[in-house]
Amino acid sequence: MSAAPASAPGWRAGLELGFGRDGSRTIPVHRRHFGPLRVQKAFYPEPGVCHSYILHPPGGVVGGDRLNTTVDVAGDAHALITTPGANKFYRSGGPVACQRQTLRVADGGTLEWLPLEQIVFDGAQAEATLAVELAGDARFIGWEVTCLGRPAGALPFVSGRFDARLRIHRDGRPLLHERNDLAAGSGLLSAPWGLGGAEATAILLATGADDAAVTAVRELLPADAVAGVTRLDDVLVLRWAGDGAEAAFALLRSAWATLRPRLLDRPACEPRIWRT
Amino acid sequence: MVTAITTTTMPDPATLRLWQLISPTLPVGAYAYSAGLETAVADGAVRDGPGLGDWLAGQAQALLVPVDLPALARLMRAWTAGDAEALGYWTDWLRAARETAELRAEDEHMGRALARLLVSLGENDAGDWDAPGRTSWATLFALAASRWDIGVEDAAAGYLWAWLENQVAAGVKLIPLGQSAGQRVLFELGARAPEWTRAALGLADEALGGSAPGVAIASSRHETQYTRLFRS
Repeated sequence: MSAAPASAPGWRAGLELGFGRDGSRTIPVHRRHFGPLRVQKAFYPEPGVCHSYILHPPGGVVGGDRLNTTVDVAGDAHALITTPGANKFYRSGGPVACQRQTLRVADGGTLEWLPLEQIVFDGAQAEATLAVELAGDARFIGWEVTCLGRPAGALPFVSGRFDARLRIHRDGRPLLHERNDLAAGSGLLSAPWGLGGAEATAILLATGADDAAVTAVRELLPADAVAGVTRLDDVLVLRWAGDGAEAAFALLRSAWATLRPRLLDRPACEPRIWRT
Repeated sequence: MVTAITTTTMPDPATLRLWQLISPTLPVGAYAYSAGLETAVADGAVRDGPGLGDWLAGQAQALLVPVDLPALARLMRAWTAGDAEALGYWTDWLRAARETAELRAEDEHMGRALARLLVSLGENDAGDWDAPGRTSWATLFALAASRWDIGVEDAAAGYLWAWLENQVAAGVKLIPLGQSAGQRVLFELGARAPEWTRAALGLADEALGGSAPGVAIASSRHETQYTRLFRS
């Protein structure tokens, strides 16, 4: 891939990250970027696991941008990735922004994908795909939080479209794929069968889950929350709809803290940046 | 004066086969599932006929049009061509589109029941799909439609109709609605079946996929609902 031709609108940005095992710990073994996507240095707040922070383009995503992120985790490696800031999709004058995130985990590897929210501004035009490709008994815990419009209804999402796809495959076979084609004004946003007027939506996926894990996460759901937990083969799926990223993360972080010891044999060790 | 009855307007055998395939008496257990509707009614999200109509029209547009019906059309093509790879691919794809354990169980239960029924009607290939983890209602529906020469538009509209009729029956029981109110919902939504079928059959592969998050959450919660009439 090379820089965008001068005539193409928007950024063209790419980030490739590879994690491998070095003795007792996981290290970045491959890092390549072009355009404004970056990764900060690796952190080791707990033994063995490499914590990394992906920095989004500082100005957010605008119409016509093409952003590709690829993460590869080798067998025996264990990476945790988060972001220090929300990913913002700004109003577009017409062109569609395109974001693709591909996460590949080799047999025996582990990836935790725990970014902050994505905020879709009124008037944004964007397509976003998160594709998780697992091999053998690769382990994955990940989430996605999407906020429509600016927080607290200051600038609601009344125009634009955010077409979000999520896919998880194991050994090439699909475990789950869903698509939320969030077009402003559509029933998907407002109707009870859709998001019921919620401004934010969240999903958490965790592999290797059994019924006990599902029960444990169900017990965390606040009584008044619009949320549900189910299991598709070994993939636990938590879905939530509500107002604001804060409530979403309160639930997601408690679910993650409950699942991590069960599924990854580790106590929860929050990335330092969550506390700042 | 005696008026001759012309036989050219009689339904062809394929139409009669379709009626059999989409009849509520087809023994596949469709009546046992509510697909989240039972929870939606318990929560007050669906309270009356218009609410039921909106709940179902939304799912028709967000799930049946971009997910079930195009997959059904591709499965029919695969059965006609004897393309085992495509059959496996679209069956897995449909299963992965089911958002909850309950929706997956329903699809698998009905698919396996239809597989056994089709074997008893002489379609021996169906037996391979009476298997856990790798089957779907649409896969077997497509087999029947393909073998019985039912056109893809009729098959897709019939599939949609059968789903609607079953969901309306569940709504009548749960809300509860009078039989006439249920029939009004079916009458209104049934009129939109051709439009939805046309939209579904015009979609390219890259335009496929959908979701109904409110239904997915309701269905997830139904799995632990305390008192229920319908299965999870």
